[in-house]
This record gives sequence, structure tokens and C-alpha cells, in this order.
Amino acid sequence: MKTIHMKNPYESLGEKSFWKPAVGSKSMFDISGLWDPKFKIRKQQKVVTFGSCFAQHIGNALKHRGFNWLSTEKPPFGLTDSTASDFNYNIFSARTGNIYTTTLLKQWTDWALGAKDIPKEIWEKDGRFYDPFRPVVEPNGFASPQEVTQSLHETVACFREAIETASYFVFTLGLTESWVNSEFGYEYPMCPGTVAGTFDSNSHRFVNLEFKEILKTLSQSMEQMRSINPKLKFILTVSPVPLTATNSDQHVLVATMASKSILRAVTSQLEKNRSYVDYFPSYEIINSPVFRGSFFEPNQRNVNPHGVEFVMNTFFNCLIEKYGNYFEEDDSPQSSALRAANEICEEELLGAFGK
Amino acid sequence: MKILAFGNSHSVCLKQAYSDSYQGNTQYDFIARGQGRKGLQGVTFVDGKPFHEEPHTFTPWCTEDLSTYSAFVFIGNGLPPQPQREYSSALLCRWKEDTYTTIESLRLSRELIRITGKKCIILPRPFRGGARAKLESYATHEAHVQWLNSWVDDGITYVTIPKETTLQGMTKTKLELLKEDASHANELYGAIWLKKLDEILDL
Repeated sequence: MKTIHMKNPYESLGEKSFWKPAVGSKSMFDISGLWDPKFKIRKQQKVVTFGSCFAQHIGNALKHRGFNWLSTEKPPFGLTDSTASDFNYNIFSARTGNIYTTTLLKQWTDWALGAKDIPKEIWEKDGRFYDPFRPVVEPNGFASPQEVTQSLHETVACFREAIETASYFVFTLGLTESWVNSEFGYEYPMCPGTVAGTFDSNSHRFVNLEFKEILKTLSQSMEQMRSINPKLKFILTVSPVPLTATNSDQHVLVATMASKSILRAVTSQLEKNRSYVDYFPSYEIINSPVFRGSFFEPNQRNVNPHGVEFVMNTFFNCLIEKYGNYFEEDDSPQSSALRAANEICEEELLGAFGK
Repeated sequence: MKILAFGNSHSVCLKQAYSDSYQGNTQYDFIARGQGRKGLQGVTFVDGKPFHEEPHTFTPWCTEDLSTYSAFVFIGNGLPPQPQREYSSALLCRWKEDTYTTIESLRLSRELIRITGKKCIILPRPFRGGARAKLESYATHEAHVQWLNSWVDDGITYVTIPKETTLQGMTKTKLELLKEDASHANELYGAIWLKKLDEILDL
């Protein structure tokens, strides 16, 4: 009688499924295949980035690699990069500032789609005026309340344009903790009274968002966005940056882990159930004990440039591992030929001086 | 009167007109390099003379003392666009200052005025065809130039492109004034500019 050997499920799995060959026996810098991308992001496709601080690294890396990172709220021509950065241009795809929570993302989406009115609250400090929803967007605040309102409305319009025109919306989830206006229910990205404004316990309420609320608001935001751009796809990441402070009564380290774990669980749920959502593991890369904290600055909070580079190299390498090296194909030969032709043409014209 | 003209590939139309047909009394020296080779980037002034680490990349280069010139001209400049968005007053203030770093003609003009106290005149490049040109009128161009002159440093003047080089009601340069590449002008176009410069310089 012939014995049929049934393979157990683990026997047919690849190397990446086993700790020893995938991690344990490798140098940490040789660990690869950490992401199985759902989408082949073409260089020509427009990508917008929003969310917590870490989202700006993704935007920068896309720009530097020649991808079509889209900024819908551009600084005026002739502004230096340094001033543009001071005024929060080209940090995210519009001048929203940090969108730390999914409820804040929902708020921006509601404003952009006209589902909710933009609040009229404005803060004043030493004769300058601050936007409660982007308190650090201008280095020294605005000259007048009208400027605040005008600028916020401009950014909302640009945020909408980003949704309408992008192929990919990259969103980095940062926090579960937030502050809301008790009377009107709208959310502030930072606790009033920290950077600007005045804290008032009657008007300002602390909320530590739970799994269900985060899942619901992020799902709703994505659906709303796809109602005006049905082809829009999402790449979610969780910020690896720990909380600066917590108002949760927990130790900040415990609060950080709780917060990130909840956000991570939400992204997993969404990525698993929605074909148009992918998750990129920047959080895991920076925070895994395998990397021994080497990607953090000495304050053990900020991610150092090596960490950012490793994360972003992983992003691009995983795309290449899955789809082949299509990046060069995507570089337009016409545009470089045209540039060369223009240079030649100019030099020929200048050659007339030699006659 | 002696003028030092800085520019890019558009300089050639003025240079050719100057060599071939110019009847005026102004003497021109040129410093020019194509935009594809980074134009006027890296040009500075040392000991009262123009300086660049690679002067051989310019055709031509000039090392005359700046004090020998009566004025300075910048040829073939794209006009800094008027900000279209509602920027904050603080940002616009910083932007105006930044243009003296990021826009070569403004950077060099400010420096020339500091060194010599003499005027700097900035000439726009010839208008191109295409969809954008069709949206612009000569009046729009005049307004644009007027707006630039409202905030640039004293001593710097942007001038409007000579009207006779444009088609009626549009900012497309007359075809007979263009080279085959349709974006560079020819010596006839240059001659019109030289005449206009003589008027501006009040010769």
C-alpha cells in the first residue's frame, strides 16, 4: 500500500515566513521582502501624502526618486525651499499641517466635500492670529482674522483637489488622542493653549479614540473620497514616532504602545477587507526589536535619517521585487531628449557670438 | 554710453542686431550663457568686475570694470509670475525678499546697484505661442510689468516687450521675428529692442 505524504501547510511556505532564515540569521540591514505591495505605483501616477509627521518622509522620498508626488497648494514661484518649508508648503500635499487622527482626516474630508461647515474659530496672541486647525502653519501667525479664514478655505480647496486628482492617497496614522470643542464637536490637531489659543476645560474635551471609532471614521473618509474619485487607492502607514505626551493617565510609553497597536489593528482590518487599501509597514521597520532602536535619535523618539532611508528603500525595493525594475521604463525618454534638444538649440544660438 | 548686457540664448538676437544693423551710439558688451547650461547661475562680482569660476562656459564673457558702464541690461527673462493664490501678507513679504536670491536677474541687479549705484533694466523673453499665450493679452502683460515695478528695488526696471513685436490682442510674437524654434527671436526682433533701449536710456 502506497503512503501518501501530505505536506503540512508550513512546508510549502517561502523563506519570508520563517523567523530564522528571514530574520534571525540575517544582518538586520539585509532583511527584505517586508512588504507585498498591492499596487504597482507608476512614476507618472499622482501620489498625495497626508497624516502624521512621518508622512512627509514618504512625500520627500517619492519626489527624490522621480515619482509624481503631488502638491496641490504650491508656494509662489521664486520662494526659497527654506521659506516654503517655514510656511509649511510642500510638507504634505496641501497645507493641512499634521492630520494626526482619523477623526481629523474625516473632518478635513467633510469640509472638502461640503458635508460640514468650516468652523469660524480663530485664536489671537500678541496681535497675531492663529488657525486652531493649523496652529503652526505660519511661523508667526497671520496678520488678520480674514487672512486666517482665507488661508484655511484655500487649503480645504487644495485638499479637495488632492483627493480629486490623485491616484494614491498615502495616509500615516499617528495618534488616538485628540482634543475637541465640547460645544460644536470639532477637533483640534493640538491641545488649545499649547502652541496658541487658551485652554478652557469647559470648552475643550479630551478624547482617546477607540478601535471602532477609528475604523469607522477612516472607512467613512475613504468612501467619501472615492465618491468624488472612484479610482483613488490608499496606502496606509502607522507612524513609528512615539507620543510626545499623553493625557490618558497612562505612562507615555504604555500609552504609545496602546495607541500604535490600535492604529495598527485598524489598518490591518482595512487592508484585509478592501481591495483599494494597502498597508506599508514603516511602523514595524522602525520599532521592531530586530532593529535594536538604531533608527531612533538619542531622544528615542525622532526617527533618524538612516531609519527614514531604510524605510523608504524598503518601500521602493519591495515594489521592484514584486513588479520588476519598472522605474526606468517609467522615465520618459521624450522629456530627456527634449531637454537635450533645447540645450543644443540654445548653444547653437549662442554660437552666433563666435562668428 | 556703455551698457553691459547679461543674458541667456535670447541675447543673441540683440547681439546680432548690434553687430549687423545698429546705428545708435550705445556700446554693448555681453555676458551670455544658455539656460540649459544654467544661465547666469554662479555669476558674482569680485573687485568691481564680473566673476565666474568657469567663464569659458559663457559666450561671450566680459571682464571690464563695472564702473565703466552706464547701466546694466538683463535679456530674455521669464517674468516672475504674480502669485495667484491668496497668500498671507507675511509670506508675500518673505517671497519678495526671496526673489533676490532665487531669480538671477534680480540677484545680480541688487548687487550691481549696491556696487555701482547704476540702473538695471530687465527685458522679458519673447512671447511664446500656445494655449497660455492665447489667454494673455498685451494689457495683461503691461499690468504684470507694472506690478513687478511696484515692488522691485529702486534702480531696477522691468520693461514691457515692444508692442510692435506682438500680434494684435495676443501675446504671441510675430512669426517673422522668430527663429525656427518659435521661442527664440531673430536679429530684427533684437533691433526693435535696441531701439527701445535707446529710448529708455534717453539717448
